[in-house]
Amino acid sequence: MFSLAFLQTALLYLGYILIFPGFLFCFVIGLLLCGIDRKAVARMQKRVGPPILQPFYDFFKLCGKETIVPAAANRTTFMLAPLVGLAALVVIQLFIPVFNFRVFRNLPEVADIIVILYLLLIPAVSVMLGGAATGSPYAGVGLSREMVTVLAVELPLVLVLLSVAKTVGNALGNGLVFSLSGIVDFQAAHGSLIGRVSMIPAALAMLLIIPGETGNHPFDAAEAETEICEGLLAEYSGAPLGIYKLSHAVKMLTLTSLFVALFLGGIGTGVEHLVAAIGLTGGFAAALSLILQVLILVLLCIVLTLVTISFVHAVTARLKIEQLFKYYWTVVTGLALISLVLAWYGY
Amino acid sequence: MDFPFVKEAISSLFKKSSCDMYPVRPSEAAPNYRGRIVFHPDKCINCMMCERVCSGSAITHTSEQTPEGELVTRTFYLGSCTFCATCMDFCTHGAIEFTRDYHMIATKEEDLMVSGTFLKKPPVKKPKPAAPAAPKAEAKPAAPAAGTVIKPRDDGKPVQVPSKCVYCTICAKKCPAGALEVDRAAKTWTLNEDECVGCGTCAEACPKKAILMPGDEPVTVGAPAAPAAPKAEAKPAPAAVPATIGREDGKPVQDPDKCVYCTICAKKCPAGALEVDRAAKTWKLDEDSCVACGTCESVCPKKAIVCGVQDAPAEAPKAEEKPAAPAPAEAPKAEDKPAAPLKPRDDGRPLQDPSKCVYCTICAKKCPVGALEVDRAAKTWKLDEDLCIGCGTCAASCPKQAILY
Amino acid sequence: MFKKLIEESTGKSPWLFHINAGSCNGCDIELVSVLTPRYDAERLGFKLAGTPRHADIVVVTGPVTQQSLNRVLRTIEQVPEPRCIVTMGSCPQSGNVFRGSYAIAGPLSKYVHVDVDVAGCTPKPEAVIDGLVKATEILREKRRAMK
Repeated sequence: MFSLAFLQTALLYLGYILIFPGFLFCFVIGLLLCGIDRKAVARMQKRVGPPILQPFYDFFKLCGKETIVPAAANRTTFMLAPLVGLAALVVIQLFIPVFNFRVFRNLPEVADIIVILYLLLIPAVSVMLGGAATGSPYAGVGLSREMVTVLAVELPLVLVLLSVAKTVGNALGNGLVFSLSGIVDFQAAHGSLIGRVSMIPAALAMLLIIPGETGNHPFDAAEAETEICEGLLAEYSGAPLGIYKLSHAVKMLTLTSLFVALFLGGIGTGVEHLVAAIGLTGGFAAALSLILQVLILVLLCIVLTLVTISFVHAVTARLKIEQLFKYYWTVVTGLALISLVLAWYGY
Repeated sequence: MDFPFVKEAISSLFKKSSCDMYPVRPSEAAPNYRGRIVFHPDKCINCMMCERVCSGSAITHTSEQTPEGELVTRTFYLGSCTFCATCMDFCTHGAIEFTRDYHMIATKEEDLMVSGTFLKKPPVKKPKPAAPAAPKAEAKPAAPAAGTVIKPRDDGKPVQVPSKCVYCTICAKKCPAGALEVDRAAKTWTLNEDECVGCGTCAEACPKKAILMPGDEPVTVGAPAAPAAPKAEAKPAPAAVPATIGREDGKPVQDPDKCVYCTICAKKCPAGALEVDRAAKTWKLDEDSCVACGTCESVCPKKAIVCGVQDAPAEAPKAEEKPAAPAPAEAPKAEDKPAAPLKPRDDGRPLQDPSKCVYCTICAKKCPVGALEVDRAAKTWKLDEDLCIGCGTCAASCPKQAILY
Repeated sequence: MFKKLIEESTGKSPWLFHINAGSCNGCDIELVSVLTPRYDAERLGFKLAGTPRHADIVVVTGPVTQQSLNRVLRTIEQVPEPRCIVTMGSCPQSGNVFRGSYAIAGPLSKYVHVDVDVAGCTPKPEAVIDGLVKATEILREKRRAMK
């Protein structure tokens, strides 16, 4: 059973999970994005801002702090909930193709968008579980707000994904394409989806969904530190808190790279041909093109973070929870619906 | 939705930050900033004024008797300071200074203590002036020798002029160092040489100018005619004995003709020695309490009180007013609108001239005792006879000269 | 090496929690002004935390009134180790002008160990930054002493 080939595959997938699109990549790039976001917000407010590496310092400091488990808390849930949330995010990252690089390349026709949709709920649910386990009243208020935020964001997100699937399906002539690899492949062949008329409202809606899904300003009513003491995180301290902060950073990477995969998939896919054109072949060329693709992805993620998270943070004030709900179900859902209707009629 | 800061955010992104970069670049406090206190022990005279005025009780001192004198350590606890600078304002010798240093970071309480030690050595200064001072202190209770000249001391400490002193105790109360002890009954004035800081507050406070400080003119204690009791001799009695009024002991005498029983003298008497009943028209002096300070004389609006022996004819109008003395009883009658020609009332109270009065109410507003009631609408002008003290303010304030006084 | 990393990070990421123990609001305003663009304490890693559980440095302002004493002590106990307590302004250090009042339970040092005192009434924002930097150093020492 433990043949050499199996061991090789197992090691490869372990590498995927722990290192490249998995944990380590998420950890470094996620916290980097977070640091760039904080710096950019500071600069927009005419401040100097913290060093880019500040989120790393915060994370390691929290690892070194005492973890206090409240007397009223359910210890197991309290400690495990953050890990579940982080694991879900790492799994999502495995599903999101880095242009031509796919972890699950043997299964091109999997309906992985649906899986991502489900997995995106898990971090939110884990925060809710962990917060509720503390028994703090602040967490109670935060829980209800987090729930409303998730509900508000999920509807337009589903509509956006649906309209993307319909556009690609229409073009390929086979109904709906729910495979992210399929969508990226389509973009590699026919150019990025952002260039299509029907996709522009969907892309706009997605840009507005990103800060809502990550719980960034101004959609952070659930974690309002000035009103409800950070809500669900009120009782967390030490390493579990650090993992939540890390999850938040990774979520930024996940959502921006999802945006890249959905709408800008065509940008980095030509790199392989470019490398081949210079005359390089073999393993070195493959590695070089992978590195280049990752660099392009990271760059795009940084730009998206600056536009959707930092800029929106700097120019707005926190919305009340009912304003947030109304906003998502009218403006953002409206944009996604326009896109869906256009996609249905083949524009 | 409205985003007013979009332009601001984008332009700030490319501008220099408005940060002071404080720990990297040092920053100075504003010119009049009140930061860390600096205490100059060499200037301090230990008057304790700073400790008294400190609202946060941040200033304390310890003292220790040593052979050379008193070793005083004054401590300012910055952790209790409001930096109001009242101590600096009150310090007459500039021993307290507020600097612009705001770096007051401490990990233990001692870091916030500012203190200074100095030696206060009264014995070193004392021997020279002590010789003349000592006999004076002893001589005090006794009558001063005729013709003695009382000179200010040259060590900056106060000297009493017993002939002027009325032992009212005001100086003792005002002394910031608590160095004076005055006994009204025993008529003693004692200076604690060690406590005295020579600030001069007592001399300023004295209502009779009976305390001499350096720079004052020496006073000659005159007339052997003043043997026993120290009496107020502000105006020495002239020869014409029968023409004088007033008492020799400086206590007040009322002139019933002038007195309107306004009670102001009773209210102002520091010793509470006067009792005036407006209704019963009585004026009573408690001989024991009276310190003969003369306050009643100075506050009387009618000059109806005389303290000490004075020249009688000086009060010329008195003769004219004297016949009016029995008048008060008749006054109510006279007040019922007199005939055609309006004449000023002879009881010293005001009278309205209805032909001139415009009922502007100014007189009512100015009346210090609220004895006038003027109704502009109803055109009435009413005087409360009991309240009126006949001061004449209403007449002076009337813009139409409609009040006869 | 990991311990060294944590210690290094502890000195670069101090989160503040601010307790008002009956302050007149002067110090509270100055503390917030430390985070404004002009002083921008965030460039040193300072951040205002919303709950004591997230905090490293507790900043106490006000003379610790009888009413607030219990709450202050409970809040401080909820801060995970290593923690640092900073008193800001004269009030928590001595009671200041409220000293001796029937309503005052302070000074704070009677109840807990105070690491840094920032004197002033109210301290300048620069002085507050000085004090917080000092507190950060102490925080690092405390982290080094742990485990």
